[in-house]
Formats: sequence, structure tokens, C-alpha cells
Amino acid sequence: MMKLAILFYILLLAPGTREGLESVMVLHMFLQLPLLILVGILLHGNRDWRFLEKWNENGVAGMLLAVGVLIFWMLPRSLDDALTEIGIEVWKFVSLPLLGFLWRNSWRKIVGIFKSFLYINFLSMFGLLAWLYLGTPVQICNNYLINEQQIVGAVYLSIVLVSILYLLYLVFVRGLEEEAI
Amino acid sequence: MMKNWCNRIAITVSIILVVWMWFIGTDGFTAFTAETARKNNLIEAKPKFPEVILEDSKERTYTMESFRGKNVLITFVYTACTTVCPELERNFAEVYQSIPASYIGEEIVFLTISFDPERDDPKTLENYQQYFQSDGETWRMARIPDQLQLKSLLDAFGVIVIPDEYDGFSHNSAFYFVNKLGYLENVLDYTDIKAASEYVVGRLEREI
Repeated sequence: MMKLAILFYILLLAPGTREGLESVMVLHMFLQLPLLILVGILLHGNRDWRFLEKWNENGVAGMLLAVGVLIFWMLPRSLDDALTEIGIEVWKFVSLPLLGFLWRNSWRKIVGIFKSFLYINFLSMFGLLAWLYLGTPVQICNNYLINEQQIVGAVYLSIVLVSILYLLYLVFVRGLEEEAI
Repeated sequence: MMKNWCNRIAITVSIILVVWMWFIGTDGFTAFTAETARKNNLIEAKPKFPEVILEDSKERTYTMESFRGKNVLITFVYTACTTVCPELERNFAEVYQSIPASYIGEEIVFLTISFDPERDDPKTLENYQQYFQSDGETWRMARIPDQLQLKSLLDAFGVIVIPDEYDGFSHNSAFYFVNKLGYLENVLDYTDIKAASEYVVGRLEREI
């Protein structure tokens, strides 16, 4: 797992893949960023990470940091700055694997109410971003074309719609089945 | 008990880190897009309008020196643009009309600069003027024929122009207020006509 994570990371860092993914907004947002998060998840693997039992006992600390990093990368500005400022670009390659790592470590520890909160939070946040990117006639990211940001908006919207369908399925199909038993 | 404390410390540190990260990333919660950050930086840096040669719709050539002693309000467009530019110029026209007539041409000149010199020759610019009732004198439209000079201006004023696949450009838009000495003094939101016009009128009144 760990070797796979490192291999993945090197692959993403390679100039060819890095520039290729960053040249298209939708790949930057929905391929490079998630893959970097995946690196963190793989790095965590199934190991115990003993010290985190103490420092991330109920998962709240890790989750807060992970969500904070995620929201940071949802700001339109961050994506732009990663292209023009080397510091932000480095931060991207550090913070996103960290996010994945913390997420993996915290998700099974946090309690149900926190999970529901996260679901609702992300649903509304993605919805807001979809509306922002699809609705505006103005270029939000200076380094990308307007039609690219519309594609990103469409992807956000699809994520929201699929999530809503999944939630409905959980509640009305699975939930009712369980009640019947 | 010990575990509990570690957990609490970790939560506090997490919150601090997150707030700090957001604070740094948005220049203290003032700029959530690169465009706002760019405007804030420009207003702080007040760059000088570079010495470039403009060619206007009446085929006259001059530099910004000829506007010395007058404020200039500037927009950047290309005439083949069908999306943002017409809106930008319509709003520009409304600002123009909202300025008291005694100031027009005396205290302030309006200037539309094309960043597409190949297509926007004086003839094309003259046609374009008619859509917005620009008189070509107190509201001029001009191109910068020399590509290098054009680039130096766009860089200095942070105008980002990216060619798109339909032979057009993607670009950021604003009203640029250049003062009597030729320095950029403010970058105004082109969608808020009222605020832009109030700023300009207030600024001119202060100077008299």
C-alpha cells in the first residue's frame, strides 16, 4: 500500500503529468486533486498509527483539519494561485495527501451526527459551487477559459444530483426494507 | 484523562491551522478569487501607464503623455467579442453619461483599448464606436499596433488575455482609473455602474 502511494505520488509529481492535468480546469479540479487525496488514503492503509489514537481520539481534530483543507481547495482563488505561485503549488502537494490521510484515520472514529453534518455540508457546498460556476457570465479563474469553468460547474452539479439520488435510495429503498424486517 | 487532553489540544490546533490557512490564502478574508487579489494588489502598487503608442479610430497616433493633466478611465476589449465586452462597454457608456458634461473631455477622458490589434483596425473601431455612441474624442477607441508594447501594458495592468478555441479571447474586465500623472489609481467593478460613477464624480470634484 505504502509503496503504491509513493509510486502514485511520484507519478503525479512528474512534470509531464503535472502540467497535463493542470492545463485543463476540470482535470485539475476533479482528477489531480482527488488523486492526491487518494495518495494520502493509500499511505494510511490499514495500519494503526498508534500516536493518532491519542491525538485524534474521536476523529474530530483530524476531520476538522481535513475539511478545512478541502474547503481551502474549493476557493476559486486557490486553483489559480497554484498555477502562478510556487508556494501554493507546493502546499497543494503537501496538504491534499495529508487530507486523505486524516480523512481515512478519522472517518471511522467520528459519530453519526458529525457524519450527517458533513454530508449536508458538502451537498450544499457543491450545489453552491455548481450554481456559481454555471450561472456566472464572468470568468472566475483568471487562468482558465469560461467554458472550462462551466464544465466544472456541470461536474459539481452531477455530483450533487447523484448524491441526492443515493440518499433517496438509502432512505426510501434500504430504509423501508429494513423497517419491513 | 491524559488522552482526553491530547484530543482537546489537537482539536484546538486544528481549528487554528484551518483559520490561519484560510486567512493567508484569501489575504485576510478580503480576496476569494485571484481577480479580487489582482485588483487589490494593483490599487496598492499604482503602476504607471507604460509608454506605448496608441492608434485610435481616427488613425491618430499618440502616447498617454497627450492626456497629461486629464484623468483617463480605461477598459480593455476586442470588438469581435460577443459575451463580456458588449456588456462592459454598455456599462462604460452609462458611466460616461452619468458624468457632468462640464467634466467630460476637460477633467476626464474615456478610452477603450483593444487587445486584438490585428482585427481591430481604425475602421473597425470606428464602427464599434457607433454601437455605444462614443464620439471618438472624449471617448476614444484605440489599438496598440505593436504586440510587445501591448504585452507590456497588459502585464503592467494585470489584464490576462487567453486565446480561446473560437478565435476569440477569455479575459478579465474592469474600469481602470488612471490619474492626471499617468498612474493607475483604482480598478473599479464594471458591473456596479452606480458605484463606479459615484467614485469618478467624487474623485473629480475633489480635485477641483
